[in-house]
Amino acid sequence: MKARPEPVADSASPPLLRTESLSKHFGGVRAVESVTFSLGEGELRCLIGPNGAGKSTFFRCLTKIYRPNAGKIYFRGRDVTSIATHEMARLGVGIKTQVPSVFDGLTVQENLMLAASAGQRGREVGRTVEEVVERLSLQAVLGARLDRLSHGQRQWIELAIVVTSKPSLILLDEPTAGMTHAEVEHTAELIRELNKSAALIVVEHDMQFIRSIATHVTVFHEGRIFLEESAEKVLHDERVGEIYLGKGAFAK
Amino acid sequence: MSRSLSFPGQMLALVAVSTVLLLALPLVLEIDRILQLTLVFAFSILALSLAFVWGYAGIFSFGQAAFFGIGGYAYAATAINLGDSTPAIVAGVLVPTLFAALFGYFVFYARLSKIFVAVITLVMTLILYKFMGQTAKPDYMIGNARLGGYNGIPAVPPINVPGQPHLFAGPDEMFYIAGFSLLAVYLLLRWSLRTRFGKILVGMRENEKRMELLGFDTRLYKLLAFVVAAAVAGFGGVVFTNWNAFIDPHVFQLAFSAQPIIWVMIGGLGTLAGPILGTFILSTLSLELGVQKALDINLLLGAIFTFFVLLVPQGIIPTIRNYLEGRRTAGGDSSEGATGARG
Amino acid sequence: MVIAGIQILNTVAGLALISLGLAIIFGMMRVMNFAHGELLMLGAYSVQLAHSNGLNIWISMFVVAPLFVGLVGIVMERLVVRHLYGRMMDTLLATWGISLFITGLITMTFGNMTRGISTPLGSFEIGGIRESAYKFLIIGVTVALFAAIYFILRRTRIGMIARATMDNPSQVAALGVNPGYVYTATFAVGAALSGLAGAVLAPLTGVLPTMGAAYIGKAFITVICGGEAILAGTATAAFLFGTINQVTTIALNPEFGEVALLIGALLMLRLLPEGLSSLFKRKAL
Repeated sequence: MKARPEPVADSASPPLLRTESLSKHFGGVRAVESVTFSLGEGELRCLIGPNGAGKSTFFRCLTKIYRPNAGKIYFRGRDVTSIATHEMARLGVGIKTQVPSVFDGLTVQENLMLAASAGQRGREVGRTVEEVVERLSLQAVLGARLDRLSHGQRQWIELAIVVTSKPSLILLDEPTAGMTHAEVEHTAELIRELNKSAALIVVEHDMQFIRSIATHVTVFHEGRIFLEESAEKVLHDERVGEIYLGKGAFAK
Repeated sequence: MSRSLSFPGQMLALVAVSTVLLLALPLVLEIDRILQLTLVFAFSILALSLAFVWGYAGIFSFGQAAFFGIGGYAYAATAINLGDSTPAIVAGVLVPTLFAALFGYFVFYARLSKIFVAVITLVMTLILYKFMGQTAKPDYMIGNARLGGYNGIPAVPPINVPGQPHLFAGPDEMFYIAGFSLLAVYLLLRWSLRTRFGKILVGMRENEKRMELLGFDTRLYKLLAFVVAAAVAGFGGVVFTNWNAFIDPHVFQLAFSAQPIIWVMIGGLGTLAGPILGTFILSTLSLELGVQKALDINLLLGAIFTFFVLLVPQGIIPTIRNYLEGRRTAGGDSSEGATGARG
Repeated sequence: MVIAGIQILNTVAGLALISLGLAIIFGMMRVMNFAHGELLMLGAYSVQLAHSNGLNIWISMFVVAPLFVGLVGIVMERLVVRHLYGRMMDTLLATWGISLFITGLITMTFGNMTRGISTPLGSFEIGGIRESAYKFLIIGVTVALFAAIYFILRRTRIGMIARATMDNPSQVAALGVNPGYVYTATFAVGAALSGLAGAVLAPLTGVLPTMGAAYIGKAFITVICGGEAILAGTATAAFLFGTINQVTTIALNPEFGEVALLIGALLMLRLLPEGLSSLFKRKAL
């Protein structure tokens, strides 16, 4: 897995996603400040940074939950800065939010059916759901209502929802939070598999996990991009350790 | 028991039982009971419209009684002008539908919060009441139909055989029409909830943000749900206007718009049968209490309603259902959801 | 022209007055009080009953009505609203049940008929036309109340505590103040102001169990279009809608006054879904 080829920068075709000097302020708080970020087709990028660094706000700008104060967002070369949330989703951007956002009163199957019917019609809906159920081994919980599942299970179902909607860019905000060790490994496996057909941006804190999935890491600090490097370099960078966990606590 | 039947089977059984009941009742009941039941059927259609938009789409609309009233007025004005009920029924459904589409566009495309939707639909109803009440002057005419202010429009022509105004419905026929209308509306809504559209509404009720993140334009679906509910309420208003050959602004009054909300809440949100049950119990109670006057009906309804919001927020039917399911399935998951999603 | 101006000012003041209590309860506590109209109605009954039993009109209006309705507010908050904080929709429904209950109770007790109170203060001449001096009292009372609430919220310890509680109840609890009391008190103040508004307007409108319905449409529109800023938002919205209402009434006819209000509100909310407050800076009052 480590020998994954570097994404080739193709100058002819635009990157999948690109932000230019993107800023989001809340009153005096500069949650995201002048972020210029680029992600290629099929790339898998990890986003790290201490709490409050602006990662989730950045995601909310990308999904158009927030309107940025300044800057531009391009998706496949098209300016999408001022479109609505559902239009962004239709272009193929799916997100797993930090706190699981699922349909609590519905069963796992109904959750997946809804996700599939967003962009698909007729027979395809049922087929996609069956595929995802198979792929993520959800047979046992299919008839269970979401509000009766554990936190880890709900995280996993939200992942399933995102997968079912077949996005071409998947944003994952702390996908392993609250998961057991086995579930984390399972998630890493899934992410690698998803990356075969989609680009991903993953916000994570678990260094072990990051090392197992990503080749490239972007470090956020105080709303700005602090560093963008290969995973190995970033994980051994002293400065990153300092901003992230306080001095000395990082490099192990 | 009914669990073992498929959905079409259940619906067929329901149609069979209701048909027998509807046909038999006029044979055994006194005429004033038949008239009362006709009224309750019209009210039940109104309750279903709110049960749909509130219980499934998650939009609390105070305006269902207003659409009911607009439907009634549109029917009355058209029937008086044309002398035939067929186009009047169409108008009774179409006018509230268009009104709701226009009003709803402003409300839902502004992305108003649930609370604000509740408030603005209430305000709409109040203002309609005041406005219709002030139309007593003879210059408020729609063709030959005088709006008549607080006195309303009397002597509205009843439903007739299409094209034959002299063959019109008497009390028994009106009972059948109202009963089968209620059945038809119920079946139509049950069916629509099983379609993609219905599933989307429920998804929106459960988690609007997630629906948007999946790519659904929730503004549009809310508007559609609101418009469908207005059409149903308008149709209820048509039946209601036929009941007494009469419509007046009291349908826009606060005390009247209050009623469907109480019926639906107490019968059970998220069901269609519950609101019909709630309508049967409470509107009968209102009619009986209205006669004897010792206890004010608002006092009683207000107390019952507040009690339910605080202590039985799910309403009667879901509470009973949960109790039964809790007893039956101690460990396993209920089969309800899984079968519901497959069809 | 002067007369039209006074009429507009008077409508604006009336609108601001009937909305103030609702705005405080909604703005501070996020509770949409659907029994607001009945609090106004109870204020009107208080002044009518106290005055017809021989009490001085001004004491009935400015002391008895707000005190009594404030007490009703305390009971409402303790018995019902308290159990539903954070559930906005349920609070709305429950208060609306209370509204029906109070209407029914008053109808049973006093009958479904209008009682009157004679308008105090008489009238005087302005530009050759007689104007009731009482209308100026309403404008004065409204301005005084807005100023007083502003002063209390901005400048007094009680106001600071109230605002801090709405922001962060646990922090206030850590300072030794029971947030529960602050909620009750805020609700009571909102209710008392509604009672006072109902009392002040009673001589002009008469007193009737269902009179609340005539007020709440306008009050709700004013508050939701006002938005976040309790005082500035409500005042601006009252000014806007008072003017729209009065101009339509004069230019077209009275039937369209409130219809114009609704259309104005819908258009405004389409343009500014956050209400008029979005025109002010954050944290304005």
